[in-house]
Amino acid sequence: MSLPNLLEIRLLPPMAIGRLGASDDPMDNYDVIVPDARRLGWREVKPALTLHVDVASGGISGKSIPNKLSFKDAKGFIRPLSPFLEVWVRFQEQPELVPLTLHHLTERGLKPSDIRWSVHVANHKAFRRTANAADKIECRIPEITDHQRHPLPGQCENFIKGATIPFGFVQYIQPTDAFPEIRFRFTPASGYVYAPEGSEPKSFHAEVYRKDGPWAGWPDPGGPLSTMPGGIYYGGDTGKSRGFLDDACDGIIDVELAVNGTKLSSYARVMAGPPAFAPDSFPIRRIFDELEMAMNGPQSDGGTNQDVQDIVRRAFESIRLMNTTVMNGNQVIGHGSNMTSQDSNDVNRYFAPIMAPSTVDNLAVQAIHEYVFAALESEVPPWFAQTFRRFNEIGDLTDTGRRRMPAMMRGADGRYLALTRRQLDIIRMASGLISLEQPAPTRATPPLP
Amino acid sequence: MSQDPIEPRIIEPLNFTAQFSHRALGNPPSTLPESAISNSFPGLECDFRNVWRRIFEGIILHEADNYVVDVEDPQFEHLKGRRLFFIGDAPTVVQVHGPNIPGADVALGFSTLEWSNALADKLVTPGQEMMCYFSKDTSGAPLVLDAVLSPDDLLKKLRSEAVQQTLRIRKLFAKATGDVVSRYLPVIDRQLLQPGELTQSLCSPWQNDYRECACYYWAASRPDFVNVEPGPDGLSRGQNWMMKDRENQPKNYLPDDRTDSRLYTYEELFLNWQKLLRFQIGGKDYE
Amino acid sequence: MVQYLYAAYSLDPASATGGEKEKVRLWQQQILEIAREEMGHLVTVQNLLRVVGGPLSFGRQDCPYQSDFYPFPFELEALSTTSLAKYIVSEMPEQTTIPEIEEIKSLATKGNAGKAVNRVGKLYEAIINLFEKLDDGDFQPGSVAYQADFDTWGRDYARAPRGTSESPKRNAAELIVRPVHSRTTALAALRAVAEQGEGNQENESEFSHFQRFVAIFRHFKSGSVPFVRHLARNPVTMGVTPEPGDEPVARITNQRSLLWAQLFNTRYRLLLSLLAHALHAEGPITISGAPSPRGRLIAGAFGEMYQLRALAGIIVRQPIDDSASGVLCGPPFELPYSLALPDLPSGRWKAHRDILMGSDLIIEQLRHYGAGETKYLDALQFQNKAFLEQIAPILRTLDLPTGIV
Repeated sequence: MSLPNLLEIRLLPPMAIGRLGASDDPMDNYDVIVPDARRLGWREVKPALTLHVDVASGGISGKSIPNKLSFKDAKGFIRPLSPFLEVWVRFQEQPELVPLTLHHLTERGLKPSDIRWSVHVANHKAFRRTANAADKIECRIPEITDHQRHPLPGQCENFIKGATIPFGFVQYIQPTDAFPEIRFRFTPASGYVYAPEGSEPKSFHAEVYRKDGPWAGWPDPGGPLSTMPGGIYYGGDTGKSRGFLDDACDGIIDVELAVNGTKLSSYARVMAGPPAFAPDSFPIRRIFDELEMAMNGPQSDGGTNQDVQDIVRRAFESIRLMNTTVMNGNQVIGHGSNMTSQDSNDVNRYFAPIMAPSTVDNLAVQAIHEYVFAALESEVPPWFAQTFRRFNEIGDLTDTGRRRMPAMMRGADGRYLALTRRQLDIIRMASGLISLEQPAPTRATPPLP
Repeated sequence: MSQDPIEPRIIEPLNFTAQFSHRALGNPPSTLPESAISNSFPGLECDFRNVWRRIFEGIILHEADNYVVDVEDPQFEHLKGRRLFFIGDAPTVVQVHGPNIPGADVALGFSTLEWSNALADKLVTPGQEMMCYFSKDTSGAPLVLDAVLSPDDLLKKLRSEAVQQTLRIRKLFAKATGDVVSRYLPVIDRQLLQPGELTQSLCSPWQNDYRECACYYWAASRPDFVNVEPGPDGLSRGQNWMMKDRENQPKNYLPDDRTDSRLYTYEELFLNWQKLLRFQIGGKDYE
Repeated sequence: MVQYLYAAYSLDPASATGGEKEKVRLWQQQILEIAREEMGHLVTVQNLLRVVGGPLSFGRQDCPYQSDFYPFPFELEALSTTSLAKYIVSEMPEQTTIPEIEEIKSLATKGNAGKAVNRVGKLYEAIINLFEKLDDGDFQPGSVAYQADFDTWGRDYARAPRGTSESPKRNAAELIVRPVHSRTTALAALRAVAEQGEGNQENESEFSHFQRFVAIFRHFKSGSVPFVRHLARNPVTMGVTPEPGDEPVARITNQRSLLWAQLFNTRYRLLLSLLAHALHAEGPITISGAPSPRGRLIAGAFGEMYQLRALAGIIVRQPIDDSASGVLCGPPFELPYSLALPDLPSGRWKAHRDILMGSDLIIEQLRHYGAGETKYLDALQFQNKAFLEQIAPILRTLDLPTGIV
């Protein structure tokens, strides 16, 4: 009896986000669920099945559902979100992908160490500004086949000799009979801030960068190469960088398995960023939406009221945590930091609140979302597709334009946020509209012959 | 969205959505793209705009602007420093207009469209060549209003005197190789993005950005208005997430101000952000 | 306006076939837009009443039907060529060159029990004359603080249709909500409202209500009728002893339909209550920079409009009685016995609370009778609860701080 061939492997999820924290204890798993789909309330964050990794052996010592949700440890350090990547496989004669397991390996005469991993993560924040290749902070680990926890030291030519920025750890988890899947764990860094030698005041974790390196004191030339927004580094308000760095990074993890002379490989991307401080709330427009659109195009095959309610829910989750009075440009104390100020500063649009000032209290804005959500529960098609800002209407800063949805928030182009074209198309479809353009009503008076 | 390891797990190889959303056992939802903001200006988890830099084979665009920062194929050397104004018929910029004084509606300038939406319809045909129109000017100066020409006429002029070049648009996703059922894999092609490039245009250190820029696009990830409850007049009362003293009553929101010592300072955050900042569950300080 | 809503809800795009589906959906949208513009007129009229020191007025007056001004008796009926004819004639300008106008007029008369339909334009002309004759002192500029403005009330308006300029200059396809403080602004508002209805003589606007109804009339005539629901005429929830000359009413007797209709009426009442309360409160022109509880009232008013839309969608699928005749119920828009608003702020908020509590009782009955739509009823009840929680502090406060509406 011959075993079905392994045809391809995939490393999933293809994009995993780690979230920084200095605790030695990685964050437990949790679920975020909508307790009742009929209402806009808070999602419930509940502890979920957590795998406990024995760092010394690299194996999973057990699994459990914690009693309590603890984002920080006893010392007050944040517990880092340390995602697992899993190897999935497609066998001949089975169309679906399934997790690759220890059993699949051993029955083919393979060992866990036949799976080779390589990691390459980096932080190019200084390089992006200075354009000096010696400012790239890189960490490459070309081959891992063991189950030790490997640190990820970020090295840079412009660092002080011997200094590195630790980007965290990776560990190829040892598969066992109890936990036979093939896993790789990325543990992000502590979330520390690093500085050039001799920096004052000592508001950072360690000095790593040469005090005469290009990033320390880098004078911002402005110009077309600037990031947008520009000047977003410590010292940016003076036009001169203080040379500070962080331990965020992003990169690629490769996995390879040779089977019967064929090399099967796959890769996934990882990144480390700040914690999600409101884990029960999700953004309106997400990387997921970008990937969906890039994969499937700007036109949707369908759209239901539920799809629209999902968007309304996330809009609600954002505005709920936002001081809408200040964001609206109400003259509370001065102008505040908001889009209305940006409109004035960027293009001299005269300063004015977006919506009528009396109507934007946070609870009133929440209420409107709740009413919309409730009405959609009756399956009445959405009536508001045309109140959304289209992607090429971001230049419209008239009262009408600024009041389009989503309101008050900034988009990737620096102007007001627009949904992805695909998201808007989903709303259009749910509304039963053939097109967001509507034809003008025909003239009743017959045209001249 | 709960995980049960006992159920057999399968994924359709062509179901990319399921793969982007795959919660490997033990991973909370915040490890996935569904939790990451994409109205990147510049972004939090990454600056997604960087994926578009190499979307046209041979040139490297600015992640947030229509400027050609570099070329990878020497045959396109002449495009370096120019601005890409049209891809086929579609402009990459849009006029900004509105009132400079109450009641008016005048041209105020131009804005480059974000690539994600601007390119969306072009990406459905990867590998296709498209005619691209680049500025005659190589100074890199951004497009500004003309003293004489209307914005529409200015764009027409730019197109008529443009340097034209066909470029091939790439697929965002990696090509699958070997015995595969799908042409592509659900991972962003490494040819488009090297390690370090997704995060390079973010704030350095990221805590800097966290302190400023208030919250006007990422409140679900970086909260602003917390511990909110209705006041005696039914209006909301809450606090600024960056406020040190949460005990004040009645609840008071202090607007963002870099010099207000009642809000955490940059330096305090650099040193101690993880102990100072509080997670929010149900919109309230947790732990 | 309510009649236009009824007519719009009688359209059923889903039951149209092929290419007609989109047309029917468009007609529905266009009539809803006309209704929304009428709402703008209603609100602007409240402003006009305010500026001359009059009370707000939301009621439908019972009027002698032979009056020179009243266009036609209030009638809730499904859309038909006849009802369209009545709407057209009521909105028409003094002169028009459309060729089928005589046909339309005679159809309208037939549909109005043999009486000619009056032009609403005549009413506006009379009001304009009146305003021209008022003394300067009759206009109270301070009342502007209590008036409705576009910034506050112009929510959810559709963008101008393709083929028109998107300029913000006022054109007939926009919502007219204007504060008025003087004779000039009052006359300008009246003329704008009139023009939106009938069009401009010199420059026949494509988007006057008159023009839009005529366009729909023409298409309607040629299409088939299955996409109009068989709605009852003038459905009512309560028994009324008809007066001679009254329009016939259709009593809703199916138990569930009756409850849905009562729920609809309750939310309609809440809408009017919130609207009146909001207009009795000082607006943003005096309170600068601060949100006010008025904002919550306005959010509530719009929220109720959305619920009425949802409820109308449910009601038009319900049978009017148990006879299996196929006649369906329509949203009855029955006015409450009183539109009077309590004098004191605390009383006003309590009035909203009382209506919500009444609405909850009806919802419980709907559940008891197995009326379905449980998801929506759940959502609505949750919304009720959320509103009550939000206003609980206001209700608890016996002495409301100054500035509270």
